[in-house]
Amino acid sequence: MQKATAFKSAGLAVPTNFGAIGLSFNQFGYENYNENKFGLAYAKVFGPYIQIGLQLDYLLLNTGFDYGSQSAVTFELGLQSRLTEKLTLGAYVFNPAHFKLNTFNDEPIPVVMRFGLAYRFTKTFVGECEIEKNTDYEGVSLRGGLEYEATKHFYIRAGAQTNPGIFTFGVGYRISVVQIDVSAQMHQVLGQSLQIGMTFNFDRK
Amino acid sequence: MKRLVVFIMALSVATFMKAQVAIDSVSPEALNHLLIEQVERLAQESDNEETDFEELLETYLYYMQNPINLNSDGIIHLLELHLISVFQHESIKTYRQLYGDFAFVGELEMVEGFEEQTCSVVSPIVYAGQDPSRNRIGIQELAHYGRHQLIGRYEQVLERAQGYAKVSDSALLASPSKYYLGSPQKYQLRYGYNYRNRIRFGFIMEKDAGEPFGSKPLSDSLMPLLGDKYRQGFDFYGFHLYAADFGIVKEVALGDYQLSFGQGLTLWSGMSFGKVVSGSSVMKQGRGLKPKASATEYGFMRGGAITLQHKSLSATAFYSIRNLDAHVVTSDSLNEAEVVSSLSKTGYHRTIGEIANKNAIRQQVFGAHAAYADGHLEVGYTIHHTLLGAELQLKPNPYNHFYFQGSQLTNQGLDFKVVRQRYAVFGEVAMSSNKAFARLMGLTVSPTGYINFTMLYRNYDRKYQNLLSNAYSESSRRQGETGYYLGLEAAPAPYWKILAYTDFFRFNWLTSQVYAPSWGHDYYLRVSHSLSRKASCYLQLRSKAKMKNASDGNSFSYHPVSYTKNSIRFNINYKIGYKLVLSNKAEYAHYRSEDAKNSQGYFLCQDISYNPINQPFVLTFRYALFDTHDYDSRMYVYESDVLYSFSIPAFYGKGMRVYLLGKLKLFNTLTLYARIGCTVFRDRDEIGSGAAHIENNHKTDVKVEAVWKL
Repeated sequence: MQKATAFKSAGLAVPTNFGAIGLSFNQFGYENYNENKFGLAYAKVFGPYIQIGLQLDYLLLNTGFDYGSQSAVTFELGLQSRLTEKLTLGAYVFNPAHFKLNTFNDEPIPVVMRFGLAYRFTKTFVGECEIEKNTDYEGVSLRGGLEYEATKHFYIRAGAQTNPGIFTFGVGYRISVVQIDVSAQMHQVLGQSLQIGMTFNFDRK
Repeated sequence: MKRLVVFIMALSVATFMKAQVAIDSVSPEALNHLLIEQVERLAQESDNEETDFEELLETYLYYMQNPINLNSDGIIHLLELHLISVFQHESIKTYRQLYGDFAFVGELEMVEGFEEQTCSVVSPIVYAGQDPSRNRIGIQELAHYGRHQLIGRYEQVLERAQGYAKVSDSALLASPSKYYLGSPQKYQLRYGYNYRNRIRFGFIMEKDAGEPFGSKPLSDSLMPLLGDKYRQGFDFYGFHLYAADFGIVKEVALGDYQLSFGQGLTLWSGMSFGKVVSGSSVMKQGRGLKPKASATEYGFMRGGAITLQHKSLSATAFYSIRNLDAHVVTSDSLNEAEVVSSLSKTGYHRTIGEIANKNAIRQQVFGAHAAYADGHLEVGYTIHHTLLGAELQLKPNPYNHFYFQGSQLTNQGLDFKVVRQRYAVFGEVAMSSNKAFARLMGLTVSPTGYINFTMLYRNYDRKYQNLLSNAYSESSRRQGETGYYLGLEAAPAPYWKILAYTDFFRFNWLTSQVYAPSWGHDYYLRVSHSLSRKASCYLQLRSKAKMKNASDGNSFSYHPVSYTKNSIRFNINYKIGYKLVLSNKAEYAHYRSEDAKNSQGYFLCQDISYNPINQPFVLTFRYALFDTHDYDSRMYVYESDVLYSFSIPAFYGKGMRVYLLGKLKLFNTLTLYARIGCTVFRDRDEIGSGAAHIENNHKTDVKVEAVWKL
């Protein structure tokens, strides 16, 4: 595991009468180079079929050794629609207006576009696939994933991605309001890493 | 008894309501998607962004606005439009004989061989009504039931291209094809009148971007360069008048019109879907006369034509005279006659060079067609003679060796078609005045209602010459080609449809890009699935191999190498609630050649269309990303556009594309369209070359259109 490629993330979502409001923070990197994203999100459900989310982002890039930091503001959009009982489609775009980091040479922030679908084969078994284009990289990434609820509240997950090749395997378990997810990732270049996540859902008590 | 009467009344009301619902709920989406796919494939085939599809698609739009009566002979138009197979056409006729006239469009689903996808494609352009009486038409009725349509359109690219730069006369004289004489706006105005598809007339006028409009596009000293070619006002004017079904006169056309007979080998003016149509529609259906209402400036007849019909016999006579754009040079032979070195098909008259070539050569075409048709057999004979005002003398390149040269050309051909319930045989043989032959034979079989497969063999002699041929082929010249096609169309399970074909072809002479005989293949597979009433998706695979001159060769030794272009595309359309239609598309293209680097590319897009019920507007939006190594792995993707306008841009390089299209119905009679689109490149600071060069990394196009219907 490489410390320099650590990824940390925290988020909070609050449902209100006029939609859900969220706050989030992501950090990638280490002390001498880190990319931070602060997000303010708003999501709304329209009818039984469609959900739309919008997030305003403040991006902050800190570089050590007196190189200073740069920042930018952009936004991202997501859309999820339930087509049938079993099929859900999703689409997502980050930085669609192609904003740039405000440095002297107009360093571009990539545009990221994704769409995917989830198919619920049975009540306990879901398959998902997704295609992603990031304008910083050559080609596109394809992802596939499976989730199986083996016993009540115990989930087993596996997934793969192309370009770069990644395999993931994970489990999740829910106790009352807390859900704990653990996953292992095999990256073709960066090697193996471990991820741990905790979700508190007070609605689900 | 009373109860029974009430019951019957309730039943009839229910039927009536069902009919209403069927008509109201019909949306042209399925038909639009079908056309979009066809045109995208056609754009790939012709490999040219500039190709004008208006001519081809105009007919579909026309019938969307002027639907076909299912209870009339007009259903033959569905066959001409490639929307139904010849067997489906037969089964409609059988159904009518057995059960009488259609009471509502939804009945189509009960006709043999009409699976759900065909129904949804056909429904928007048909209606079930009384066969209109063929009585004499009074002026009053023409005025009362006739429909008028007036359309005005403006469009422009906002970034200024280099060709629009203001330059001195000497610079203009030094490079006469580098500068446009007119403004960057494009204007079009058209009017059409239609009385129940029986009487139509209209006109059209157009000025393309860059074409001059005013009285003096050049300074006095340079004006002589244009000769007498330049006329103030619009660059293109067209007029058409058409009438059908008046006693023995089946059809008559004056002004601009199109002709198509048999399989198109002898005579098919204008465009055709060529090889890209689905399965059994490879068998073409000549549609006789057709008025030409579009602004396409190449490939049509201008003059008069008439078709007489008596029972099973029909006869057509036609005459056309018009001037073609051509490059005229004085031959270096002793008599110093003027000869034509090339014909131009673009229809642009923007630069000094283009205007000088305008209407440079007169073309006269006259001929006749006679046909016999009973229920199952059709036989036709076509003859036509082309007369050019000057000799055509192409560059003496080996690849032009067998191409038509001279000023007179006669073609004649025999076509036939035998249609039975489960199979159809068709073919055409044509001969040009140099006694060279072109042959085409096909068989289409439908063993059960949901499957049909088609075979087609073609053999066009390399000496065969015809300027008006548009039969099934791989190359745009119908000469020196042999090929086999095998296609399959099947609905193996409800909501699933498969379309597949293979085509092998061989050219037995050189072409302008391949200096040796060459060959290739074309494979295609498309699987489509309706997930629900509101959602459908398809997966499309394509592989095409052809040959070209190796780019590493020097001018003394050309050798052909083969190249293959593969592509895969997934597309899904779905409707959410009653207001939103969403669509996603992902495409991957790969180009492989023996002489160059492999190249690949991606295209991803999200479409959103918002159409609130009871509101008079529709908004359509697309956000797309594309990323290809180079021009070799380019992709053609259709974009929604204003009425009667079609754009299928080629995407290459790295960048994004956005557009927003709005449609607003102001009154019952007036509809406004506006569209703005923008492409932003990340890998370049300038777009295009030559006169179209733009010194920016973005290109913005704007269109506004008003459609007035009465």
